Amino acid sequence: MANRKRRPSVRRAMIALSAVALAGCGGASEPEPAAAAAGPSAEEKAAVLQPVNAFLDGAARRDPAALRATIHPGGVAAGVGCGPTGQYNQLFAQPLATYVETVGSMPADQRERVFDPEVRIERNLATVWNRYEYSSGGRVRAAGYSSYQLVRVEGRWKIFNYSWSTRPQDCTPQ
Amino acid sequence: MRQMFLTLLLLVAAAPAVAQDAHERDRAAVLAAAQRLFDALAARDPAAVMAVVVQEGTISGHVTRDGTTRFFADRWQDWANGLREGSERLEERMHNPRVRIRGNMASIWTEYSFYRDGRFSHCGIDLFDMAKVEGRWRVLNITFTVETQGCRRR
Repeated sequence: MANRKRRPSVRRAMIALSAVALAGCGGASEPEPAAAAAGPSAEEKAAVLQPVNAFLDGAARRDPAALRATIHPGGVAAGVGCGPTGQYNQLFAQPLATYVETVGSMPADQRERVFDPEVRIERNLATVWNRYEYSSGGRVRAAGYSSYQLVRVEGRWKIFNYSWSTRPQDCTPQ
Repeated sequence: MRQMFLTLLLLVAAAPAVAQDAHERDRAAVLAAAQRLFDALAARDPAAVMAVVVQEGTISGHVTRDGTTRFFADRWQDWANGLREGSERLEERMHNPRVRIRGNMASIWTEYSFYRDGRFSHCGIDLFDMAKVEGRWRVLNITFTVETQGCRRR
């Protein structure tokens, strides 16, 4: 009887510890100060996410004009991980204004899914950070995190810088 | 059976500590790279700036003065070259930096205060996009606000 009682509690303890371990592995973010934890309102967040979603929609439709409308020129698009020749631990960067013109050459069935976007806003500056999965031809071609730096110019949020990470297995020479 | 449980428990219990150590090391490296940029600013040393940034990246800011906000953006090399033009001693201090690290990408969101020749100038928020390239953290982009009202001098 005593034995039977102990087992579930050991299992519970293991589950609890596993949860702690997982939190430890994934939890590279730090707790927010109380003021920041309250965060922006749903409306403010939606206003920041609008150009990001329009950017993703425009990329899915391979429509440079749609993407152009979401950016403020002068920023950079940077992929961290795969370099232009396919090695890892490198960086691929070009002006964001140049990058948006290349979406027309992307595969027709490409799709980018984003998960858990986090929005931070400080006056006219905002960031969106999310996990993403990019697929085409029925399989995931790249995955990692995306970071958007946005600026509010004349009352409208625009994407200024866009960067994303890739995994070693995502690298192919271009 | 019991021993196996104990071993498992120990392994599972040790995992967060190991992950925490790795995170602390990465966090320190990310913040050290940001501090090197501030040191290069203080030294007005364009080469030192370029050594710690990704040259394709940008520096941009929202400057609020007399109630109006102006947005400016520069390439790193142009901004770094501009440092040679002045002679004031510049000092930027980070306060309460928040670091987020995911693999070879990281961000820092921090309050800052800025001093010229030891005199308080302004405050604001700095946001760094950091990239780990060839094993070394560098500043990809920085964007910031410049506030002259409601600053704490620290």
